[in-house]
Amino acid sequence: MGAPVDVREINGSDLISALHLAQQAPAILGPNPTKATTSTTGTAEEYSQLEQLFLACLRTGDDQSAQACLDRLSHRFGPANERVMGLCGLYQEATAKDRAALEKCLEEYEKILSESPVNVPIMKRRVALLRSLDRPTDAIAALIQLLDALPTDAEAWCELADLYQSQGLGSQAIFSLEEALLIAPNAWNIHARLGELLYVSSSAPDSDASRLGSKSVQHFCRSIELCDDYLRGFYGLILATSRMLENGHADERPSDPTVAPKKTLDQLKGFGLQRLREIVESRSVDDQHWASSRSELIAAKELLNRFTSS
Amino acid sequence: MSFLSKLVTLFGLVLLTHAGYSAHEHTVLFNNTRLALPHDIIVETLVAVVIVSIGLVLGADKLKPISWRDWAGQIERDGGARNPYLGLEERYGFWDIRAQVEPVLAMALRLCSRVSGIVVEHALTISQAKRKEFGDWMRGQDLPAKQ
Amino acid sequence: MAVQGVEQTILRDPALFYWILFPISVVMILTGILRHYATVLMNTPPKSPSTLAESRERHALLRGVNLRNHAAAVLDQESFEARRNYMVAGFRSGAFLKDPNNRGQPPANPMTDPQGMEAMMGMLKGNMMMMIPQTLIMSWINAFFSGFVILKLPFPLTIRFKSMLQSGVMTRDLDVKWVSSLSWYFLNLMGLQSVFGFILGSDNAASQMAQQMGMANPAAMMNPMQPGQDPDKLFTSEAENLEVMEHFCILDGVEERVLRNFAQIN
Repeated sequence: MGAPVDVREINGSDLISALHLAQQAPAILGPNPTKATTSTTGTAEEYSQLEQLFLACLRTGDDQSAQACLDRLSHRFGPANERVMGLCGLYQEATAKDRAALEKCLEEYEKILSESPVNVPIMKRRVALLRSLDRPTDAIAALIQLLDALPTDAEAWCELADLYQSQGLGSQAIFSLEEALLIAPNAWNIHARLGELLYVSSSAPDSDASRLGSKSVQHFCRSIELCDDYLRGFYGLILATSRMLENGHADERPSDPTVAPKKTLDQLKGFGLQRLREIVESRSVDDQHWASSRSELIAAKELLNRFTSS
Repeated sequence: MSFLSKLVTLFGLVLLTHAGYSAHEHTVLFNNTRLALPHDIIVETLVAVVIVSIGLVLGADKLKPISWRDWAGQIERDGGARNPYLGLEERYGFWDIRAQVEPVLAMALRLCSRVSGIVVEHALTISQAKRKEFGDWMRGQDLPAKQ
Repeated sequence: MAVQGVEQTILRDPALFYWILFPISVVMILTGILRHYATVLMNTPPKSPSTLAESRERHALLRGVNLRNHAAAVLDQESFEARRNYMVAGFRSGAFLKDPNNRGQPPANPMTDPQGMEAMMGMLKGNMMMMIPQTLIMSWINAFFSGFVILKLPFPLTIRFKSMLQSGVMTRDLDVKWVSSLSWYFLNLMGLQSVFGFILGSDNAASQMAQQMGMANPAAMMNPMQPGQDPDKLFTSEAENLEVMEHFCILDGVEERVLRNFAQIN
């Protein structure tokens, strides 16, 4: 590896840091990036960093550096390695010129899968490509096939939930996210995500709004319990509790013991508002540091304004 | 490890070595008479151990949070990049790379237009040729530093 | 027996240290390292499943275990019941098996089953890696170094340790503190594990292998079942575990809990 550049703390969704990482590509890859180094040494960590760099380069359109990363990875692990095959497919998708080229990628994936049916990265790529080609039902079918063979893959369950939600199938999406949570029960962001899903589907006209709403409150609470200072959790908690209170789903003495009484919901809302205010105040001081989550902060501020003005 | 803690540890180690050497010499000298080890050597050993321990404790890293909630809160306050469950929301395996490119390009163009004052909004219509052009430019030029 | 209270003194030639104690220790460490690398070389990675049904058979059990362990943190009563019924029915009917038609038949003979054969070969190789060097070194030490008293422990021991510390030296009256060369070999054999951990890194079984695995989707490679085990039996016992399980949900009352624990500062 070349210069000691710190590429560890890269937030994937953070566009700025992806840009910065991709800019460092020439420095990391060394002076002669097209020629793969002959050494096959290096720790696992270095290679996962190389993978991150590859993704960042593809995102920013630096195809040459991405190709160099890919060369190194396939030099080390062999082009038949499943994960390298997946990355290779990603590269081809990114550089595909038109829809016909993408269809060709899809055919290639199907060819690989007919030879080795349990090639998980390629299976995932196929689902992603189907989705990107606007064939969500095919994508869902392929993903269900994957999950039938590999029911312990939390990432795939989350993707399935997202796909279902994009198709407007709320209860299926909730089921999928619950499966993902069964694999990773302490994931606070997934708890919050499930809360959001429940909140959204409780607004559908023909739904059991009070039950879904109270479940949504519970999941937001759990997410807060798992993670101190979680902006998304507090934001969702405020929204969910205020809807419960406004729509009159909260009783003084609910018949169902798992549903919280009105007083508790009121207190929760107050608590959420108070903590959210604290978080927003502490974060907006150091604006640059929170660049990646600026949109979240803006949304939180708007919510606070709405509640203070009303 | 700070300089002070290093110094203290080193001093303790020197003391400990000295005590050990003294004990060795003592046993060699009085091997046959079976005299007990003098008290000053024993005291020196104990003091040396205490000093070394103090030095090591002083130089230890900052304590990390034990409870899950504090640890997770720390991660969120740092921007969430170290969240081990981030992969479940990013889902690298299912990345739609073609949808990922455009927001990055838009962001980059916004950043440089802020600096140089050039209006580049029309450049946001991205074709594959543009993508390549942009990639070449990325490697050549510097974006404004993060700070 | 040694006379109580009077210390035995044996004058040892320093050459004993240089030519016996030291060589034995060095040889033991070197063979340990050699064995480590030989194991790494001969180790074959676990085979990834070749069909979707096989993969499902491997992971269905994990899914059941996950449901059992984590249901309390996620599911409410209703969705837990639904999942439990589905899993139990699947386990019972053999829907998760690789080959549901073969159910109830005795497992294939490991001698004819190629997969079982491979696993047996692996085990055999591992055992050979332990046995051969040990036999060689043991006979080497017996031939050249037997019958020497090479070191004295600085603390007293009870008489029971005599057979452990003085094998090869047939002296009844010798104090237990003295250690013979053959015993030094045994002590090294048992006690060098932490030294290897220090030299070869913490997971010294195969660090290189772990790296290879890291690149090749560890989740798909994982195989919870031992070769030769009947998955059907495992599934039935897991179904029983699920059936007797009593469900509770930590999400019940989470609102009050959050308020009580974190909102006191108001």
